[in-house]
Amino acid sequence: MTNRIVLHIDMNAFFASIEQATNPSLRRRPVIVCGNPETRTVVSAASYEAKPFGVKAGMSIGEARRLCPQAVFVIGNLAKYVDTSRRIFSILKTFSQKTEIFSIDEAFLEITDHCSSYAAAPRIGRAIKQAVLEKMGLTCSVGIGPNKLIAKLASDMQKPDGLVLIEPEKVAGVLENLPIGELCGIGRRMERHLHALGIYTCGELGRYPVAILRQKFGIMGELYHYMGLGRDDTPVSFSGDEEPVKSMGHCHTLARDTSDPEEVKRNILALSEQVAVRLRQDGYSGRTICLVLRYSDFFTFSRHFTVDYFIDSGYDIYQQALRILARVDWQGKAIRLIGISVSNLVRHSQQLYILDEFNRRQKVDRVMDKINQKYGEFKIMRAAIMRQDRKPVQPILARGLWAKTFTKNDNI
Amino acid sequence: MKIVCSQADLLKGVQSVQAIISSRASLPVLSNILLETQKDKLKLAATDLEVGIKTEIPTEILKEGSITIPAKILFDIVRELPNQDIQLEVTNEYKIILSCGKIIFKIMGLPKDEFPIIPDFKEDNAFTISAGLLKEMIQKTIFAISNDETRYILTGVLVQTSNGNMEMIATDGRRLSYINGGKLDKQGKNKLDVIVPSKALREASRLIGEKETGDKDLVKIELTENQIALKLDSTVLVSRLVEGKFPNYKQVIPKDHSTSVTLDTEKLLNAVKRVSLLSPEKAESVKLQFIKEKLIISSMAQGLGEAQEELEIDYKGANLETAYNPKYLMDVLKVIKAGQIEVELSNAMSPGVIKPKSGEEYLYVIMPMRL
Repeated sequence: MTNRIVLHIDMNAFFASIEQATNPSLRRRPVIVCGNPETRTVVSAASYEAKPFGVKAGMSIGEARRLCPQAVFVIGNLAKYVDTSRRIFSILKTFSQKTEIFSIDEAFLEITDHCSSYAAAPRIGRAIKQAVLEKMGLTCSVGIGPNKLIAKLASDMQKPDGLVLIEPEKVAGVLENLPIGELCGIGRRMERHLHALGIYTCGELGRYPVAILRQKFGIMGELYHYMGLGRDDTPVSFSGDEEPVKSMGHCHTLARDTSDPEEVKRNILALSEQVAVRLRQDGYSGRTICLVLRYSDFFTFSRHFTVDYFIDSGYDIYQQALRILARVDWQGKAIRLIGISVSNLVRHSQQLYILDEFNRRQKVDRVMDKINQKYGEFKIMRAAIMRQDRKPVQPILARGLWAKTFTKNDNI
Repeated sequence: MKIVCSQADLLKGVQSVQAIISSRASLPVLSNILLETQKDKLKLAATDLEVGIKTEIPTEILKEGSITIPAKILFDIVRELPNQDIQLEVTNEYKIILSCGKIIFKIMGLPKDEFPIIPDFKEDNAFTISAGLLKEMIQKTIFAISNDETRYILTGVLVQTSNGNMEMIATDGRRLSYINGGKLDKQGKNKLDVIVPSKALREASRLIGEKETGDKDLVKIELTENQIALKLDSTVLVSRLVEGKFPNYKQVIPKDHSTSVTLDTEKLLNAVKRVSLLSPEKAESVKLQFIKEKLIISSMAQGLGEAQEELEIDYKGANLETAYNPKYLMDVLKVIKAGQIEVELSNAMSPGVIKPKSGEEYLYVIMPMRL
């Protein structure tokens, strides 16, 4: 594929910017979006005023407060962000139908068909920035390149409110001394592996013998080789051929570390119910249940278990998660974070039950869904969840956090 | 203890009991087989605390006594020995000297004291049933149990007597298997109404298979408060019971239906097997469309493709469309020996019933998937 022109749009400090856009008193002040800061959650987003202090997403609130005591802590409102995100994507789609939603605040646009040359591309980039700013009051960084990999790299190079073009002939020069960790797709773990081979820059990665990379990392090795050369053939997959959802999950950092089995179970139940609500909302049910635990020393791992039927009930998910928990030797260790996810999903394929007790549970779920849809999340809930010392978990999308916890996936 | 027995007898005895031993035994002694002299026989026993099996083999007893020996080691050794007499002698330090011709093994054992007691079988109160029939009843129900430990009650098969007939019922909440084995040869004193763990039934089925029993061989079944015991020849299997109340399965079996159609068992099995090949992992659902003189079986796997097969059938009713988990269909079709089955249906949301056309009292209730 030659002469592609791909744009990457990255909303700047998305959650924090939305809060600033909707609340004038927050503008030009360091804003940190998080869960309820009275308890313990992590930073979901920090405004550009807070970033110079070193505040980063994923950081604990305590640490953020230490780094930037004057910051305003705002409890995140996921519904607001999702809604804003949806509106931004519909703006982007007016520029190109080939728009791939990459995450809540990132998108790729293929403009190959709309643009005659690289020289004309920045004009489209500027028009997009203008439209998003006018309609939503938000700034974004736009990267332009011959593929997704380079476009993403370009948008990262100027933040906030940037516009960077990397033309095909300049790719090699840009990559030559670029640390490999800057590339989207090379995580910290892979970075370590590559460092061990003496590969520190993308230039070195591209020149490294592909045979050895393949031998060490399998099919991914070849991919890394091409990444080092700045080549990426993955298409911008626009709506209509979106990849089917592979898993749904929630994780939650506890208000305080606990080794109390009852409290852990209550949290698992709350998370299970949340995941189940999402599954049912989108018509999914799944067969594989995954439990993620993070100890107070930040050691994080996950275990999963597959049953031979599809479930979408919170109680069923909870029961399977408990089964997994029973096989984990965590006694005496303090747990900091718990995550539940369901994968191996199918859509609209719902098994009916012959036994009344099973059907009753299904009916209760549906009725609870209806009530919560009408009056708001967790207006009706299991009494067991209510006994917690906190309000039911407000889901905050800490981007990437979920994916990271899934790197060590052992079956039990 | 000092005994002499034939290699063939000892191997058979060890084989009968050792399968029950769990590789994750919670106590060292549970990895062992108990050997104990009893009159002119050698008793062998093994248990995982849930199920216990004991059997006897003919032996020449030179000195009475008992010992427990690591099951795997004993089995591996005996299997590799020539078919000659084996002498087993236990020293004071629980060391076993096993000799066969010029071959000598010395193995460390454990004393009998720590080995759990497997209760004796009391013949007086026993039911009897033909071994072949029991095996068939197990085969036709056990696949429908739930392997979900969180639905503990459903992890076993309900075994009960009603009007002198023995019935077995298994369900996982999505399908149900019911078989009536007919009149028991000998009625016991107590009425049978228990949930037997699947492991015990699997072992019973294996023992019957190993013995190559004919139809005439009988299995005796005895019930105590919280245990069930089965006896076949000189082998006794004792299992704890699943405690709790089995769901009211009678309520679940549909009383009537709007459509009934006869299908060829094997043709249907093969068609479902083929059509579900696309997503064996996910096994979403297969759709069954009954239209005039035709059954169309189809499946669609998201992002993969679709499959369809058409069967000619004798059907004149209204068009009817249902969908099932293909595994649930195949499970039952595999165990039905009759060439033809009767399928009874009402509508897409209500349970279907599958019965063999053979006169046996076996039925399978299967719940559809929402289309």
